[in-house]
Amino acid sequence: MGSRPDTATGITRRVALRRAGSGAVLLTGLPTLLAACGDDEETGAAATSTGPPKAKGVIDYLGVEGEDGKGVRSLERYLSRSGARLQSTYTAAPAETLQRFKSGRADGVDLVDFSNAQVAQFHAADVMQEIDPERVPNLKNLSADYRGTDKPWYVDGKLYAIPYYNGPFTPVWDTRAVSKPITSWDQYREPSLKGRLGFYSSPEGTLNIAAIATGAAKDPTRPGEVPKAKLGDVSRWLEDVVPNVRSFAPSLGDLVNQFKAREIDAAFGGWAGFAGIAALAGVNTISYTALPSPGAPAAVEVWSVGRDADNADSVLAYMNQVLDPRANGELNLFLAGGPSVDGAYEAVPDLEKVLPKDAYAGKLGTAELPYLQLPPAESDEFITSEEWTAKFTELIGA
Amino acid sequence: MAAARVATRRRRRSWLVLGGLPAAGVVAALAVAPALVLLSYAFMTGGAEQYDAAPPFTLGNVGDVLSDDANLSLVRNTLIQGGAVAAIGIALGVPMAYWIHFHAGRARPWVLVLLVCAFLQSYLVRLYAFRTILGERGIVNETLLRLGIADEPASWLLFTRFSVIVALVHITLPITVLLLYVGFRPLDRRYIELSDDLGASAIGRWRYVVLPLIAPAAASAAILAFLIAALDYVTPSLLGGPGLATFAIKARSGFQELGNYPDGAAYAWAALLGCAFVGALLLLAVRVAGLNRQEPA
Repeated sequence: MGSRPDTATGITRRVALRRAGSGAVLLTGLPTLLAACGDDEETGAAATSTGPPKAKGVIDYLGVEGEDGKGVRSLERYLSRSGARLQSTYTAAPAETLQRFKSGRADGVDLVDFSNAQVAQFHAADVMQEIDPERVPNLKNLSADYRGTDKPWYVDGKLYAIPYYNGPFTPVWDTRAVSKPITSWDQYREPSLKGRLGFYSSPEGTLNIAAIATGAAKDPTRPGEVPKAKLGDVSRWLEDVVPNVRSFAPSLGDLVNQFKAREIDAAFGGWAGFAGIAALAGVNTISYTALPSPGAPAAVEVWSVGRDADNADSVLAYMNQVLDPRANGELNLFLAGGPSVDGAYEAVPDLEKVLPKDAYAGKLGTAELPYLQLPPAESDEFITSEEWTAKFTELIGA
Repeated sequence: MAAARVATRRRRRSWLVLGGLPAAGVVAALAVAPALVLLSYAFMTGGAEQYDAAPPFTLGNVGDVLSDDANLSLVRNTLIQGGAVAAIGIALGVPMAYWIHFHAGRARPWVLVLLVCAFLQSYLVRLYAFRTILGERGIVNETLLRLGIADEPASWLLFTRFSVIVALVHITLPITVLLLYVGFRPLDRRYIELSDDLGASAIGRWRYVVLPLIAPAAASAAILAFLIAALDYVTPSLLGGPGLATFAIKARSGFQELGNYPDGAAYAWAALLGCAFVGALLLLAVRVAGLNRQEPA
């Protein structure tokens, strides 16, 4: 997902003096304040003192840029207070992260980032370690939608990753050019959009959307599993969308570029936080439908501990921190997504502008908001990733 | 005396061979070895999301590339993309190189430096610049609208084959011109004056004096431009639209999206061999036409 720059403000002498004064007052009254607060309302760094180990040293991160928490004030403050620091290596996509592990170029990586769709893949490739929930006490903050051993970040009932962000694919359009809101995926097939679409060329995302739109998936909560007999249905659906495509975007950030340049009027494969990102780029006319008809695939971003992590304790501490409502809210404001913990909206009210609080409540994992799912690598029953990628290239590229 | 001269020549030759070894080593390590590894991948077994290639060896991947009818459109797109860029590059490059050789005068070194500078610019920045230039609200459309030449922005300028070819010509032109300029170096102005004196027409002058001298360089430039353009997958991704997939895009997809290295390697080698075949045809054409002698006909 795209990144959002932090807003930096200059500090004048007056502000510095005021802050120094406030600091002195706070220090003087701290013992009294602590005594009055008790331990019921533990948040942030305070929570780390009871449960997880404290972060220290260097945490080696491998994953997509922006998803390591850099630029998120409360996470940066936590690391700085702990004397730890992130050393990040960025990849273009989770596939590249997996590639690095498989080729042995990820030795010593502590913190690994990917999405719910890749958990099984990463587990099969022995990329990550099991997480002891006792060592991440803030797991108790997870919203009901993210709890339970049936969730994708559990494998055989064991926790392997922690979810911190939710970003469903949604229709996105420029209100200056598209007057009728796009509320269903089928609208992308209408001739009125001919030559006006930007297309985020993700084969698996497109299959998930096409499966949801056509009802082709065998189980509607698993849109990556489309029976082979339905290949014609999803292909025909996409064939109707392709004539409307003007351009392809190799990344979601590139779609913002194209909106800004007014080269496209709508995007196939945007996400809800898109409007906020576009607004930062000076385009305030982007609108979206949070939950289009008949549903949308949701990508939940997760963190896990690398298999050869040499600073695993610090990763657990950092994970615990990202499940703090304020930190989670700030990270999701930064990434323009939906938080995974209760209390994030209250801690960071601006999140409401990115994504309404109740947009997805109680729906994650249902037929309306199924998890994004990769097509199987091998299957006699379902369309495989190889078959779909070949068809996808043929449909959009040939 | 003669024996001493021969011995000196031999010594010099062995030093030359020794001097060339490091360069040969670098080429072998950085170009030949990776290409051979890639070739071996094409005959290994893999699968989607494996991100690996391993024995047993198989001809299946290559067979799939050759037997899939859908690949015909990839061949067509690859040939059009590479061929158009090479042809336009030569058409624009020959007059430029001619001008630099005969008319640039004292400005010649500066023009050559400018060409090298153009080549050094960031590739991605140039592609994004083309979006600004060719976009519906870009410089070209704005100019056409202001001059009253067009009533509405031309949407075909961007995200089409046109924009891909324009950008690739822009990217390859400095190399093409530099190679052509090297081809023009042996062309003495007196040859042209002499052919004038002998009553050659403008066409005859080009055919019998200029062309034989620059044809090998032009062929090299065309092959290089063709290879760069035909095997590029970034430009079509950023400036292209639907229906422009090439073999290079398919190879990238095999490696990055599918994680099927043998599949990607088979497409990459198919693209490379196809382009090499086109290059060989071009060189053969130059030879058959008798244009490889490096001297006026």
